[in-house]
Amino acid sequence: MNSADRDSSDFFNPVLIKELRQSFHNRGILSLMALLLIGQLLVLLVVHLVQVSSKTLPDDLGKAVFIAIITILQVCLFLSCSLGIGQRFMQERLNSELDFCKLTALSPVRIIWGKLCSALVLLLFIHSLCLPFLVIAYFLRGIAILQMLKVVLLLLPLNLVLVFSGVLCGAVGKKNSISLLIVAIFFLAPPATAMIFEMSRLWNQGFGMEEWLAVLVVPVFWCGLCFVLSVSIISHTMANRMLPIRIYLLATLLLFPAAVAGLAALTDQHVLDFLNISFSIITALVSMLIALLAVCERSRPSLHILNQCPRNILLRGGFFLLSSGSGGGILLAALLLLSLLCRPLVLSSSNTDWYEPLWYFTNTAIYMLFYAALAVFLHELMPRISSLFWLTLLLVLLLLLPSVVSVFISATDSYMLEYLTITSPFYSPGWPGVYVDTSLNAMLYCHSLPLAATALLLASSSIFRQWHALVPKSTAAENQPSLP
Amino acid sequence: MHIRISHLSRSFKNVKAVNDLSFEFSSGNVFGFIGPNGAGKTTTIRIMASMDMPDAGDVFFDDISVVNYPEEVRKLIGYMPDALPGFTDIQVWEYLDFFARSFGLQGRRRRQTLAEIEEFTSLGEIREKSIASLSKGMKQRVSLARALVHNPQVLIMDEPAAGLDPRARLELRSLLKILASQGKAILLSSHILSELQDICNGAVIIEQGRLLSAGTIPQLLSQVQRQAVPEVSDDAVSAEPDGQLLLVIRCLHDSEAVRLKLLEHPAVQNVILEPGHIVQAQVKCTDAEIPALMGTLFAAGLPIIGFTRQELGLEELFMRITSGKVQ
Repeated sequence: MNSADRDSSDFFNPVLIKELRQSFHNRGILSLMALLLIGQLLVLLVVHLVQVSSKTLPDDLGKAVFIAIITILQVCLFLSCSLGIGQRFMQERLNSELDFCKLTALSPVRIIWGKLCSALVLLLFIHSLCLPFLVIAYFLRGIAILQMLKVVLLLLPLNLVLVFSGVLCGAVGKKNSISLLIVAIFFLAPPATAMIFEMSRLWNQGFGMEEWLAVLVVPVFWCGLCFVLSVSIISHTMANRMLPIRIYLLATLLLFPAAVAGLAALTDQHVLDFLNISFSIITALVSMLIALLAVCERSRPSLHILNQCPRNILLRGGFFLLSSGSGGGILLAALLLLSLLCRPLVLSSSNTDWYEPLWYFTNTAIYMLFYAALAVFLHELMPRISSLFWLTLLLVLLLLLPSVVSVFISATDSYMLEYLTITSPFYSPGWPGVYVDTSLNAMLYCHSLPLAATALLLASSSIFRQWHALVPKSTAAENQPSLP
Repeated sequence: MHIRISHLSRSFKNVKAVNDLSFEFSSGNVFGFIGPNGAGKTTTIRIMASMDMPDAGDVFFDDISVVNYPEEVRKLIGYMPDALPGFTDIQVWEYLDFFARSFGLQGRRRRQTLAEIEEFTSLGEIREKSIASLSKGMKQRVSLARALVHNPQVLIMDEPAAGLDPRARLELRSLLKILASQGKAILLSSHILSELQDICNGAVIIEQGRLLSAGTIPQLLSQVQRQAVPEVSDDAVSAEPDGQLLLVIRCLHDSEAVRLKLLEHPAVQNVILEPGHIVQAQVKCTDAEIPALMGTLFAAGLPIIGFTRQELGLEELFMRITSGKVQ
């Protein structure tokens, strides 16, 4: 096509254009913007009334106005960019017959990217609506421009997390998913807000490891995870959905420790220790996610996956572990956990506090693998009940209930407490000094290895079936069609 | 373009919605996809439109597999589902513009295509209306326009006439005829068999996920007349429906004698005895030859008390072939 025949809008993602058009037609979003402006005007009206009544303005009035404006802005951003975009996406996907992800030739990555870009454009637009009021807040004194900028910058990762989470919930295409987002935000908003203001206070003193992790590394990891999950959810029902997720999770095994080691070097801490700690934590986390996501997968690979499978046995092995399928996912999670258990973990004396959290992370991951494998096994036994239902049931019966009940048992009944939590990661055999030094490894071997082995045993039939299905058959090759 | 459905199977839990289904058709034809409720029509159509994937088998659009290249297939087909477009906060032209962009149409070409489509589907007057505010008939038009926006070679339509008023049905029928004359291959499922007969060159009849019969309309009708086991025909659709008639003769008694007498006539192809001394004769002749045929029966003194003439149609075919069982 001649470039002269193209419009400037042709260079943009079609989903971005559609979303922006819809957003500016949407009465809800337009009303929200009007309410944002009215809310900010009300704040200024209150300031005026304070000035009239007390004749003088308080010194930190600008700061108070700024906090009020930012609070209104955050509510508006959540409702329009996160909830609004997610809600519309959910409605578009609710009827599978009309799901534009399946009606167009757009790739899932382009669709999700278009959704995210539109949310970010809306985010910038709404910020621009607040700009005049922020300038007024500055002139009311009590807050410096740099301080305001810091808060806005610190809120950016939070807003990105909200936008990515909103798109993920919308991609699920179920009504409950959006409710879940609302509930999550309801509980997480207060601590997140407190953290942001604490961060802005700490900015002048210089950020430590934890602050950088909270502001940069964890949001980036979460946004990336939301992106690949959204892409995989809207992919074809029998496409190799798990492939991008597992590749992303395995990539974080390298990138996350590297980022943490970099931060440790910046903050003058033991680089080797933090490399070790972060690798252990992320490995446990990744294996936990892989195991839990494997439950959502079918045990028999689809035709699409079978046709993609390489013939070489080594490549096929890798393909088996990375591709969609409950068996491959459980095995990959188990292998990651075994690699974690088999390596020595020795930290320098200044970082021995980390042994306990590390033990909890590893232990939780093993339990999650166990629950996931048990859910897959039960689904094999009773195929009418979905493995996701089994997993939910197991999590409630084996993890949630004992944990809730144990809260009401006094610490004196330690024996009862021990037996009650035996099905959950909170179970502790009560060995003295167990969290100290290398005795951690010994305990993990005694306690966790049998669980991991049981998990593998339970999932063995699913693993075998998936592997067996991937073994090339002569008829498959004959029917292999190719694009002309 | 040649479309080949090859040994397609799809199960939902313990129900086999589609069971080893195979048939094929090609460009320039309108194929009816017929079956009772729960026969597996929508599942098959969804697989063809790459909205769902088969457990086994495949659909090939000129050798492009829907299993391996669903995105490629979407560029070749226009899918018009049973459901109506439900986008909110979007005008008709914006909706069509989005789909045109998503299929890679750019600049002047996109604007020109959209103008043509709007004119073809008579959407020009409502182009700036919100989709949510449209009537069912108008939404169907928007859905058809959406399916045509990238000029697909194959059009797959699931119950396109459902819920439309008589005028809208007539308009849809004429649009389909124009599209078929443009060389598009059209597969449409419908329960309104009389309408299908008017526009379809061929039909595929399925029940309980299995193929019962497929072929051109004349082939299917002759299959019924012969009461033969249905076969899949791979021939290109070209023949016009011929003059097959069904004579229903009511006798006072001795219907067997009527049957034997009828079979002696060269125009009579098959005779079936029905309960209540009713004889059904499948006859290949013109209306002018019927009096002579009936005259031979009266001349033989057979106890005939009345007769009616029926033309064999898809409805008759459907009722004969299907058993009405639902999975």
